[in-house]
Amino acid sequence: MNCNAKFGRGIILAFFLGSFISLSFGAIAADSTILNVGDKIPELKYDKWLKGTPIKEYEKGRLYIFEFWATWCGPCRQAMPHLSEVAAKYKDKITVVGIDIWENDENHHATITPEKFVRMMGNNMAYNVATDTKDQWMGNHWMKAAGQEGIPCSFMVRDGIILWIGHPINLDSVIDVVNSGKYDPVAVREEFKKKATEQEAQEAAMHRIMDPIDSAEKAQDWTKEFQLMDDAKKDTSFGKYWGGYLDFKKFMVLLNNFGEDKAMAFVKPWQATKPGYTLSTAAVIFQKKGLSRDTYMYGVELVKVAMTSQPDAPPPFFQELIASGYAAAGDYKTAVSTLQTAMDGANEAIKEGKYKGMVGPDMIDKMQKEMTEYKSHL
Amino acid sequence: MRHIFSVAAFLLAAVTMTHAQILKPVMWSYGAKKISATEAMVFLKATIDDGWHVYSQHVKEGGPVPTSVKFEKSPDYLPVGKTAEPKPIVRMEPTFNMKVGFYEKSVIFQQKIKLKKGQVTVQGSVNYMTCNDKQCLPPENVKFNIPIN
Repeated sequence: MNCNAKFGRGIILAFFLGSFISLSFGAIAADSTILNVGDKIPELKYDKWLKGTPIKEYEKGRLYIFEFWATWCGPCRQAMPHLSEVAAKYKDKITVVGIDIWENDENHHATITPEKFVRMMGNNMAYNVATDTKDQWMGNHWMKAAGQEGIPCSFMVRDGIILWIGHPINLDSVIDVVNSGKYDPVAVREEFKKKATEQEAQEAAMHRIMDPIDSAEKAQDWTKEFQLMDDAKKDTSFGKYWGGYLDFKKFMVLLNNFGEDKAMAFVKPWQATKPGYTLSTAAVIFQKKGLSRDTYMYGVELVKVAMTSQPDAPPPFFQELIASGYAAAGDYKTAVSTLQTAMDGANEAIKEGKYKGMVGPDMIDKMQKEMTEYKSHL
Repeated sequence: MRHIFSVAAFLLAAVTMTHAQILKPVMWSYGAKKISATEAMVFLKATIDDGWHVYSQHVKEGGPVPTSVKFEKSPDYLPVGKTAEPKPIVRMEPTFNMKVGFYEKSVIFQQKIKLKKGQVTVQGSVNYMTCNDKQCLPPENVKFNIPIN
């Protein structure tokens, strides 16, 4: 079932009636990385200290590893036995503290309490464990402040300064370097900053490109919109990802505002490059009334090709769409026979238990209604 | 194969992208199709980057946070029954040390809706979390607004 690869994410954006598609790129926290390697650590706050001894003050020269985790995080759990080994191996030099974060909020609840989880892990969690405060102090002022979204995540601290932030898988190598005295937090900090800047730049680029296109479309300034789209596609990093969507958008604008000829003159060479958005393009054509037979047949051809190239997908879906294409073209006879094939196939699939959850009585009902409609034109 | 479904069968779909999805492993999209004059099916589709998982609505104790779907109460419509999900991949997950039901690449959750008037906008939210074999992102709540004509 590898069809996803062909469409990628594009198809989702593709559907449907252009005006309803809205792309809103949420606000980006531009100041998300206010905490960096080399910075002083924020205050340590916790709700419950579940295991070990609460830290009252930091011992000079001692390494502290704050390991951020959650009960629902498999990879965190996987890292725990080794963290226990680290805690045992370096018990004179290093203190390990597991900080449990992001457990529950108004929208989600973990399946197990941290207390029970810690008991269950037993010696596989042989280090200090504390839970975040109710207002998520640690999650916000440590993790989010450092721009860290994923867990597990380790903060290595000495003398109140963050030496390193990263995945615990890399702890051993970092501990070695830190202990050797060759560790350069400034160089590491620069690396962090660079990464954060790249990420922000990418996000800003999305806004910079998509926002004006959306505004131009709203203002019905098509010349400007198309110019902006062309420019956007030239931007390789953006075009690679969004090029298909931009072209599909352009097709809809053309069809709805510039007429069939211009839209088809655009869509044919575009679809020939196999950019995806095939079924979406066909569906848009079939929904539009008053186009030429050639255009509808072009749409039918698109669906037929898609059907052949995706043998795993239920044929009745394609056939139903094809039937709607014939109906749009006024060829109700072929529409009826194609839809009949779709219905037979769907009934068969239901009998055989094939395509469960995708082909069901709902689909038959819908097709029956379409059938009545098509037949009324015969 | 499911994308066919989402594309060909939808009467209408609205896409809302929250955050800069280009950096996110999971993208949600929504759609609906009318199945009768008074009923519609709402689809919530997650498109998932390679290597990442989204979890079933049914997870045992000690597993990931299950995906959950909430619908806003409205005089215009009523969800019928539970949100349906396709059969998940169930595998012994070494990271969780237990059998976990999850989805990869994509998944569509479906909810039957009873319509009390002709045009409604179904509102609600999906809560989900995602992990790959190295890390997990915190549960996220994504709101949706799905117009049904």
